[in-house]
Amino acid sequence: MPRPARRLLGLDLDDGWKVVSEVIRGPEATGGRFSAGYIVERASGERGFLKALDYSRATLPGVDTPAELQRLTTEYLFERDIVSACVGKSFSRVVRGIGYGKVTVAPGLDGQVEYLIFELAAGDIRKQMSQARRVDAAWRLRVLHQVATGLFQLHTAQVAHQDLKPSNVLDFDSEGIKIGDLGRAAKLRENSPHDGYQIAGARAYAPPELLYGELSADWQCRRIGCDLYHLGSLAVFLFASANMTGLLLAELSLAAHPSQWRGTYRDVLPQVQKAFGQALGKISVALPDGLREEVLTVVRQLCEPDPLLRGHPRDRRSINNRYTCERYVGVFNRLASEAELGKVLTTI
Amino acid sequence: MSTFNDNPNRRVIPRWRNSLIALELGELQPLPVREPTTFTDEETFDERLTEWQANPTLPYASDLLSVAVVLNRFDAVRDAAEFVLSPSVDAPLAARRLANRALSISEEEAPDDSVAGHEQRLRAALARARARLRLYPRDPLVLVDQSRLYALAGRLDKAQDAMRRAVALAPDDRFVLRSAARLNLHQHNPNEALRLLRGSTRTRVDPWLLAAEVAAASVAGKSTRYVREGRRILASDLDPWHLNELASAFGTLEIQDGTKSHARRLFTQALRAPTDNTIAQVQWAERYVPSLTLSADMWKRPRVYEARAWDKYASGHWREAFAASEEWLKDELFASRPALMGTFVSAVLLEDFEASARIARIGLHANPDEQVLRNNLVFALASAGRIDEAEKEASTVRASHLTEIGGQIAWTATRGLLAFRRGRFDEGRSLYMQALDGSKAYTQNHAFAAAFLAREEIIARTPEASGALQRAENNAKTLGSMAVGDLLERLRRLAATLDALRV
Repeated sequence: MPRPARRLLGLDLDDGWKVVSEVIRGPEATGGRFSAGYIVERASGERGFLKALDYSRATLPGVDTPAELQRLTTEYLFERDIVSACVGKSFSRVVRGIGYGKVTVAPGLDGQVEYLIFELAAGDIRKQMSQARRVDAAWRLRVLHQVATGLFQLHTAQVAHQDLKPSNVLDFDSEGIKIGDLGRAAKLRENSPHDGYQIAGARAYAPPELLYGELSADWQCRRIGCDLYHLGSLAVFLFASANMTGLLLAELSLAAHPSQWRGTYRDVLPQVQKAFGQALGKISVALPDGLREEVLTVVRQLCEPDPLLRGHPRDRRSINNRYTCERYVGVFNRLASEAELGKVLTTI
Repeated sequence: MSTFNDNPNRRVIPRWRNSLIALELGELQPLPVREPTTFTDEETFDERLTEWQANPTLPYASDLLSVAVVLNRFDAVRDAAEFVLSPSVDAPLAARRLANRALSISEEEAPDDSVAGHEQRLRAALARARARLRLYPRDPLVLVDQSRLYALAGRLDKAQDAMRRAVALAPDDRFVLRSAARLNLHQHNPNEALRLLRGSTRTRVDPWLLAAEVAAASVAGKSTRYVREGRRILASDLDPWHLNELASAFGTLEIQDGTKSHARRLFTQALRAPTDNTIAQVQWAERYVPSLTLSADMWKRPRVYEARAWDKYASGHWREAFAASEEWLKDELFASRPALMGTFVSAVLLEDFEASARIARIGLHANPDEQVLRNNLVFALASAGRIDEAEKEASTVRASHLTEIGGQIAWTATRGLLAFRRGRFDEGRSLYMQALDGSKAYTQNHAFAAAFLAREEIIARTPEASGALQRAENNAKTLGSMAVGDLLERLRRLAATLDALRV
């Protein structure tokens, strides 16, 4: 029997939503998934994306059920509140929440499924990148401009996304790009459910210092600095088809891989910096001539392996705003506009 | 040709190699302070895998491969990697790098320090380092590598600049500090080497840095500041690999203090997991602590070129000694000792003057003020009959910089050689006699000077030839040197051949 979150297909929900299809995000065979995604639709034709979460994980053998229930509930409520707050602030580059609720698919607590409904995207950027005719330098730069804008909007609300990756960068056709999935977000001066985690977002995309266990006590450095890194990594993905963390570790010797390294991050940092330099060399050749210097500079600043030096040098002296991505909103906007107007050489 | 002597005061001075080689040798491994990070993220991996299977295009493949590289999990990504590498995809270099890692295809280029084409390689390597630093200037390891390349090119001011930047960026990094110390020792500035090492709080706790501090202090004529810390670390349960050079450095101090039993214990500890530097040190120490021996498996360890060169030389295997000295030079291109050994063995014992000149020129790149090496170049060129070139090089020798008696004797003798080859026999003979007079207290130098005079008399077919050969043989009798004996044997054959031709 599938877990409760996987049993919503065909159900009618509150506010006139009907679950019309499931979005398969992992292999069916693993069976270990406790959340699921669906397409939902209203009679008016309005469509949305539903993220479902059940509590069956809390009833697994060996699990501390009350604690797990509390954790799951806290995570759900935190995400719901953040999404609501973003709706209230009309953030144009953050995926909008359009509803939430609860549905019971089986008797008992673990048969209850909580859900959030978001506006429905046409797909993420990987889908667009797979259709080569749509992808040019101007499009890539506009994606970066809009993602940087989305992060900046979140940051103004003291929210760090912490899980920006290609699958969370969603394309809304005429509306452009928005950032999705605030499930791993953190809010300044509020207890976030992921605060206790060494890495709040997906490990495979995390900045290197977190992979080696260097956790800054400074919220800005640890959380917003992580977003900056992810923004740079996204630029690398858009232009060079690799995520920065993967590329960094591919350039690093296996002996220095975080799964092998027994020293501190500061011990391994020179090796990571060397790997970073090698990675920049590979990224450089993928960049269009007219953009190479500026995009490389931005990637160098955003993905700087030393988190204390990450971000724009002019912001480094700022006490409260040293990891702001405001400058990058401007840089990407200018570059995108120039590329759209054909003012820069965008061939490789 | 200057004879060369085994270093009577060998110390465990850190090797300075390209960072990639140091990494391969394990010299960048950290002292363990924590368990490695446990990595699992099944959910992300499964999602990326499913997406790739549903959408077999480059963005999904490269996203999956990025995740696989971070998680070090390659069990199900072969298809994606092969897809990225297929020519029809024309994937960017960065994506191909991920695919190569997933398929365990190595992209790392071993630094090409081969002796042949040395100058061009050096220029190319420097250009690559500059390009890398333009991309990312905050790279201490590339700065150290760049510094080393400048040192190899003899541009020590630029070597220092690059090293200063590296130290500023990574003031506590083991590789950076050991390399900086080595550069300063190369520049005969042991106090600066000590200042750098003692300026880092790491030195008290890292046995690799402590070993360097002991060596630098010894060169500076000072005592190490960290005897207590060193003993405590040596008694700890750290991996023997981390302790080997410190044990070796402390063993060397014990030899200087005359406490052989302590030295033996420390060298035995060092040999549990030695670097090539430790192996060379133990081989050197064998003369002071006779019960020390290198077991056969030590010769199988990486880069034991220095120890092998001395071992083959001591046993009279000249060809193998030369080959090992060439490897040693290739490994430590800025060091003068392997070049001195290589020039001597090739010219004197193998009569391969072209090889000797080639090695001398390489050594002079990094050591332009090494006058003994320049003397050896003149000897090799003159012996090869390239007298014009030899005289040109001779004009650059700064005799006043030959501070050691062995070098002064060699230079006097080499000037005698040049005079002989120009047909000025009396002048040549007089210079050789000066060398002989000046080297009476230095039996090996004296024996070689006598042998080289005999060689020139024989080649010039002078009436003094047989007398000179006889004198050289008399000198050699008491010395018992295999190298001198071998040289004289060849001279006897040469004399016999020329006599036969005369008849």
